[in-house]
Amino acid sequence: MIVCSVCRHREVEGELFCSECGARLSIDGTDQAGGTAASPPPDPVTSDLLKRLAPGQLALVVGDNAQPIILEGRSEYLLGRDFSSPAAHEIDLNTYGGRESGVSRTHAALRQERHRVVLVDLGSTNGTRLNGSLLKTNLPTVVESGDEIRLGRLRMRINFVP
Amino acid sequence: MFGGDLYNLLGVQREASNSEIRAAYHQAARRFHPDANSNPGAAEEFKLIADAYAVLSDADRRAAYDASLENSAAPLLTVRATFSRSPLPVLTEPQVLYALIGIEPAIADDLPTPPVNLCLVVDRSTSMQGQRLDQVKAAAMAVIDSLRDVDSFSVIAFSDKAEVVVPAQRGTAEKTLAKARVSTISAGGGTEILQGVLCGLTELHRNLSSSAINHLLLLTDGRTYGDEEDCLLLASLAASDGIVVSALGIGDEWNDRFVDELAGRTGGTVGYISSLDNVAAFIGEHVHRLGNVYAERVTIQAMLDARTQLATVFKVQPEAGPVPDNQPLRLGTLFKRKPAAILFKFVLPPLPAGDHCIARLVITSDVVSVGRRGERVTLDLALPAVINTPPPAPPPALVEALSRLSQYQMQERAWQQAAQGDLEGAVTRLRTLGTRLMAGGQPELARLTLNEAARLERTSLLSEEAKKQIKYGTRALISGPAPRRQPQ
Repeated sequence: MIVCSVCRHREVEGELFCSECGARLSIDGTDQAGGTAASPPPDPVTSDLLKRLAPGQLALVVGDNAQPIILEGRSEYLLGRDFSSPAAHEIDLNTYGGRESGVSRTHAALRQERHRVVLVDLGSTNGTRLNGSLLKTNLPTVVESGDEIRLGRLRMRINFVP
Repeated sequence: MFGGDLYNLLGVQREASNSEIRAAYHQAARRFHPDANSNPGAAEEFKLIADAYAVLSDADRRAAYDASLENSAAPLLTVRATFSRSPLPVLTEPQVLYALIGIEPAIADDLPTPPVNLCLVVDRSTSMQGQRLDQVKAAAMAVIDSLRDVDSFSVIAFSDKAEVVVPAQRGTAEKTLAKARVSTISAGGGTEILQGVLCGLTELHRNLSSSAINHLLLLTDGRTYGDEEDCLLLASLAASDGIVVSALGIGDEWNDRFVDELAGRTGGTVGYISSLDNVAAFIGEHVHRLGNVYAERVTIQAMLDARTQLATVFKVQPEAGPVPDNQPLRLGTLFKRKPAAILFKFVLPPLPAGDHCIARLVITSDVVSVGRRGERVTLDLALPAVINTPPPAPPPALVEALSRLSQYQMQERAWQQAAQGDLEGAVTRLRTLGTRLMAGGQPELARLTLNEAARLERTSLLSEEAKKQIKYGTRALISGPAPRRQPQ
């Protein structure tokens, strides 16, 4: 199976365009759980990062920053900026140009549920996108390792050990 | 008698040794043995392979066959396949494989124009009154003027019943009389396509020849009721007699789905005209193109290997259109200096490492421009499957064709959703399609699509006109030139 990175529609291996939204399917959108024997190996940076991650840890690679933000020990993390006295679960994105990129003060949340990670937009001004598609406010959406998250114009990639 | 090359049939070179021939025979026989492969055509192919082996495995018979080859001409069609993935990845799940089959005339020289046996079938229902009918009549007269001695021509007018306006006549005889008759066609009555097509085929049969281009051009602006099934049956019969049926739909009322199927069964094409100014030009162009025919009655018999499934077939070049899945697949006409391209979508079973046969395509045609009938070429589709290599990038021509085909299919699904009452889904799909068209450098078609989405959302009603414009617009893109990409 391949999953369309735009609309999450599933297609048979070898398909080149999503039948749902017409997007070109990328080869690295291959679903690992689908029993694919010949999927391309992840790029060295990601695989190196994944090796260092413990189960339960989430790694956010913001923009081109080499150093990922590691999230651990909580079931919910708030993504935003200008927190008055940031608690451990509040991730201040001002260090990454959050304000200039249109990140809201309380923009979105990442939640670790039993077997999955979900992303929720908390009513942000400029919206939250998962692999390009806009999330509905307050509707939790399942995130896979390697997905691209966009808060306003700020791009980041999330990685974790599934 | 078998018209193809026995070496080609076994998949070996002319110089092959006896042991190579034996190995190739065993492989080919295993693929098509009735016990192993129950797909249509497999048993017939098995028999041909066995007959070929009987000749090539006997030294005397092979020598005699080789001698006969010396005297016969080179193949007249060049065929080749490009794949979306080559090699294939080893997978534990099914996978899709696209194959773009190119068929080209092997002779690029100027060739004489074969005789044309043409019948114009004109809808004269009340709605054709005025400019529509005037345009069609003017076009018919221009066609009469362009006829040569060897050509044959007839005109049928139909409403609820059909009449022969110009009976099948040879070329230059009585041109003035024929034109006078065309000028008497007047509008009135309903639209019963069956009557018109039946009458047209009768006229074509008077001069039917396998060395000619036998062509029926249907001009209609209306819907036929109740006789669709009979029409389709007639089209299948026409196809087996070697007649191609093409159609031109004028305005918004005609039933595009039905007319597509009607023409598709014979390998013909369907044009759509919204502006009346183009009617005469379109007919003129259509008939003029018949003068550039290289081969007629091009068909592909797709014989699948035991575990291959054929999902869809779509004609990409020279003119895009769906190919109905009745075997043999009818592709109609191959023009001089213009390759045809047909896109096959296969679904393959989970593949272990090693070489895999996918299907055997047998392409046949009457190469009317050089007067050779029953030309036959065999193309074996086979690819290796390998472990752990990232699949190579698919060929750009194939990606381009698929990209445009996916847009065409999106609008098809949008109309389907709208017809099933899922208006919201149809609106969303049209919007997405509009965005894709815009990004693909098609601003006009994009705007048309986005406007239609807005209209559907506002009024819950589709415009037949916009629907046909989007359908035939996105279809024309498939065979059209590469678009101008907008800077990102």
